[in-house]
Amino acid sequence: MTIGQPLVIGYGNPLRGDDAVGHVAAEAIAADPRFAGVTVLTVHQLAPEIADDVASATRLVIVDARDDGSPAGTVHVAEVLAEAGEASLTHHVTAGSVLALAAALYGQAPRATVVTVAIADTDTRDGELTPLVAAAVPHVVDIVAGLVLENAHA
Amino acid sequence: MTREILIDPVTRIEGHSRITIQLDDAGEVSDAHFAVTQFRGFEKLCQGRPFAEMPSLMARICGICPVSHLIASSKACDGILAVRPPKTGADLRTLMNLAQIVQSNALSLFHLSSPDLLFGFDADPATRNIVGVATFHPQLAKDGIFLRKFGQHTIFLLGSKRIHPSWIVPGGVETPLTADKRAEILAMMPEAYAAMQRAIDWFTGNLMPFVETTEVFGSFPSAFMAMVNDEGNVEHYDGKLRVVDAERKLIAEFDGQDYAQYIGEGVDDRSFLKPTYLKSLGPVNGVYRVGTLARAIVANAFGTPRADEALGAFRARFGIAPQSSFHYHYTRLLDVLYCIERMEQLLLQEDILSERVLAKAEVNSNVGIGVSEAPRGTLIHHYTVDDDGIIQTANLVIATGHNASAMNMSVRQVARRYVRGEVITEGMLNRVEAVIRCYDPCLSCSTHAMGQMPLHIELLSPDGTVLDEVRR
Repeated sequence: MTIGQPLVIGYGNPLRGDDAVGHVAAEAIAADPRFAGVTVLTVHQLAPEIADDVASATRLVIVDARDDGSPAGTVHVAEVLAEAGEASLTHHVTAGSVLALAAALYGQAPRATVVTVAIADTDTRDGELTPLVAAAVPHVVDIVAGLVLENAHA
Repeated sequence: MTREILIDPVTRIEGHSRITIQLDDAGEVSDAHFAVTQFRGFEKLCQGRPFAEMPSLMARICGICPVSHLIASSKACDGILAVRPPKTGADLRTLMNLAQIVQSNALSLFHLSSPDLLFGFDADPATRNIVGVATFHPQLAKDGIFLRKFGQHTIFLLGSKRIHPSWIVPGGVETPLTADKRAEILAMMPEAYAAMQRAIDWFTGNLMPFVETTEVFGSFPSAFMAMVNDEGNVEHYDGKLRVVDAERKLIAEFDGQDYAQYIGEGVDDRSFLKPTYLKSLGPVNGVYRVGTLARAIVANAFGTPRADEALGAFRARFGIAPQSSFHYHYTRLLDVLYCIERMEQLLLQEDILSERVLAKAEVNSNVGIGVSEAPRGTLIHHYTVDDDGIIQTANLVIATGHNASAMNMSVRQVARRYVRGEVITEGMLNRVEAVIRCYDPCLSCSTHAMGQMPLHIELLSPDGTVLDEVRR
């Protein structure tokens, strides 16, 4: 990635129904002219090496699916804080652990926000979202634009 | 009255599994068992699909080592086509396989196992994790991250995707390597070598605290199996399978096409994992291990200068056939070093940029068997097709299946040494898990985890009463 740019990461499994929403949103963001100068990545899951990209970013926004029983398509925005506690559980790491890794290794970690979309299902299909989740994607893109723009003016 | 300890799920491995520890009346461990509790069903769902779909479909088995399945599957499809890929096509497949082994072994050692090795098995879990490694040993963590990125970026340059590239196809690879991509990979080599040297220096300089661990972490005589080339040296892509006994005496050497004559597949009623065994010795005595330790024992040498020097130091310290599975960690480093050297050799070949990378043919055989060395050991894909190339049967023999019996024996050995009474301690729990992580078992995890996977351990009486319980 280019150093000194905002970073948007969409993640999830694009073959598992609405879990693809992070990928779909990231692709829409990459195609949107408002995001010129923003690095956009899509990944299946957050692995430790992404701390390298995160440390180089001026701002981090992560787009992910959420499965907590909320009505499908509901968008939630939350700040991410660096934390080490959950990093030992599996081969992937949490957003908070990525920030903690970046700070520990490179002495810097950007302000980070996670934008999640409540999903309807994770049935096996390729990149096709259920209607309510698909309808939420433009809203997600606008929210991410606001977050990135906010950072640019900070 | 007997007691049972459950460790469910086991953490910091790929996939979902459970460890059950049985106590006798005196509170001593009478038995222990490692079970895989997830079911994927790829062998069944492939039936009725065109054979050409197999490489990309089989790669979905795992998000950590998809290239390994791509390689074995494509080789099986080569057999169905009855073709051999052009030399450059085979070399490029090898290149991607080696890059995959680098990144996978880096993940295993630096991110999953190094917290135990750096902080000790009894350390506070709040520190004993990758962030703790980054905080207190930042250079080691950076080296691990670099090696992961080195492997992943090489895979991306070759296949245009870091995960699930579809570039490897029946007959070879889809596109040639370009000069600029070759230069980009070669430019990463000096740092890769430097990172590996630092890692080997760290590991070899800090082995002393693990003398006892080495003695009880899967330390028992068994056979070992790995692929070797015509010189008897380490080979990951195409060679014969060699099996040696605990004293490194030859048991068998055979073409992978004949695997079914030598390897039997058992059924474990408590697990979805199929344990394999050497047919000549039977299910009980035919236990063997595969993976980095097996490669370091079975082969005469690596065949590259730096890796051979490191292998010489390893053998000088532990002998030519050390039996402890704790040595998987050390040999993982040797394997990565070899992979980097071999990648460089391949990239410097003049014909690596040749545009002849793909052989095309129709169905010429109703059977295809593909064998390769994955990060965790020997991987076999075996397909049968009808005359239209539709899959009739698929059989996968994966590294973790080869190691299944040895993992059970290892869990039993560690449990008998460290489990005492009816209370689960952090140190005991972690050692039992850690011996499994020596094998870096891949139970496949291609699905994106939603939420956290909690660790749940229960100590149960025969009537189901919970005597002790731990969640973390």
